[in-house]
Amino acid sequence: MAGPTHHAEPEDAVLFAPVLGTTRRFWLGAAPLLLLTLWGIYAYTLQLRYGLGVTGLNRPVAWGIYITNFVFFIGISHAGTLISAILRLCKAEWRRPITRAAEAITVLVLFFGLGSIIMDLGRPDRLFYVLQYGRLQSPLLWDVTSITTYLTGSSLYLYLPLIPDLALVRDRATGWRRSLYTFLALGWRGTPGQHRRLERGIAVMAVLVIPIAVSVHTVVSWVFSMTLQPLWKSTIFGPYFVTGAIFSGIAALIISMAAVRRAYHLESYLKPVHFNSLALLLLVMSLLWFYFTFAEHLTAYYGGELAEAMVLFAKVTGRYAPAFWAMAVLNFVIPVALLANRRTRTVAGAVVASASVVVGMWLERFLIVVPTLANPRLPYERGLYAPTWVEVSITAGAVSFFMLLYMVFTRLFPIVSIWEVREGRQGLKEAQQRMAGYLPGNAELAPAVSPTPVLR
Amino acid sequence: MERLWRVIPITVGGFAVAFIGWMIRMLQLSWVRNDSWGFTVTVASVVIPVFLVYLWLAVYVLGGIAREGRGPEREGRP
Repeated sequence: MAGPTHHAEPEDAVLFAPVLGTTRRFWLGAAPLLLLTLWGIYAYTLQLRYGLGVTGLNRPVAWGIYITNFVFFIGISHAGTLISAILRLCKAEWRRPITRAAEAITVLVLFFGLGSIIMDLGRPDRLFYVLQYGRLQSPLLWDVTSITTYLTGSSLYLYLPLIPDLALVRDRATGWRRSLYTFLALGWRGTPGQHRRLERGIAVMAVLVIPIAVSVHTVVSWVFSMTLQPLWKSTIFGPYFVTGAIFSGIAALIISMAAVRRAYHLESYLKPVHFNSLALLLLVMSLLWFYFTFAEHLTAYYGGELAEAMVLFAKVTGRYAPAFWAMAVLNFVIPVALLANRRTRTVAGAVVASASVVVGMWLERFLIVVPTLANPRLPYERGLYAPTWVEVSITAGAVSFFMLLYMVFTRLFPIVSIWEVREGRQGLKEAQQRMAGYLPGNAELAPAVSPTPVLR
Repeated sequence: MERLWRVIPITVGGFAVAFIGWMIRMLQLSWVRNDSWGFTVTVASVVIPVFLVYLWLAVYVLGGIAREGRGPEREGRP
């Protein structure tokens, strides 16, 4: 194993600083999140002890905010792997400082998506029945299969590009940190053979993970649309869910990037141009989300089928109208107003729009799950649902725990991919040649070979 | 430490093999019970190749990197 042979460039030192030591500020930030997490655990122990009777779940509303959280968290997970893989395959140079932050969100938030399902079970021990006695005719088992596939793929896709950075940190760390990074870096020395294997692995995963990510949220939508419930039985639910997932995922990514930028002084890495590019993507997704939402509701309104009309009017003018119109404002009016205007498409503007979208998309998921169950097609009585403090506490605990884990991740691993940034610096000439190659009459300038990787 | 480097590729590979095994078990149960055969074959035919790719990643990429990471003075060698 190579010893410490490389010294950080002054501008990269800021990337190593959070990983090589922990400040008091970190603990001050982590403490309230830890307290909220413990409160959520306490609430869950009550649910385990007394059963789902402590929740607002009932007949016919058997799914409430746990399933809302499940769909929401799985949606957020599309931030990372999908965006990172698409940008990597497109060779979008501006991706380099943001891919790690995005991939980490995916892996961490997926655990909370799976966790939400466990929360929703009155008897979580029966989860293993799915593995023992599962029938793949059930869309619920498709979910188990696709999410496991996605979680495994996303974890590998996060880990592979992390290996060279782990070696960089290993060569600078001391004590237990050095042992940890030595273990995780797999003896990375930057040999040509190691480069070849790593690049092949990343390339294969970048291609593979895109259909997997798309399939995951499509399968989540099928859990709803394979039923005959009003406003669930829809052929556009798959793309509608995927659009919403990418939409909320980009919003979560912008917020997390702004947070680490401020906390670790990464202004020279996460520049306004990165926020501008992501804000434009968010704007496009907002318009696309509006298009799908409009199409979905217009067809239900025009069809006028009784069961669908009852759900539709419960949403638009009835009990759920405040949430519905808040969703429309948060997901469409605010982001479009802020991001379509160049003067307000700043870092702060993008963060405000993203926060609006995250809240709006949670409401959207809630409005998909609950009103339909409360107004069933079958001749049951209509139901009411309001989450109890136990459900709210568990949800708050889950969100806090996710934020805490993300903070810990940024302290254990470089949140900006150092080797990719260095590769980008050295590949400037190649990028110029590639851009020239896109233009007519400049074909001879197109590069014949990839730039030399800079992994150490 | 060099021996420990095997842990990650073996864990990833082991998980991939276990998941493929579970899928094969689902196929077997579906055949024996004469239940949901079409669905099971469809899902398995998509999922098994994906996990075979994960297995390849564990063996070729992660295992290969770890093997090359060992220096000439590797443990257990003179």
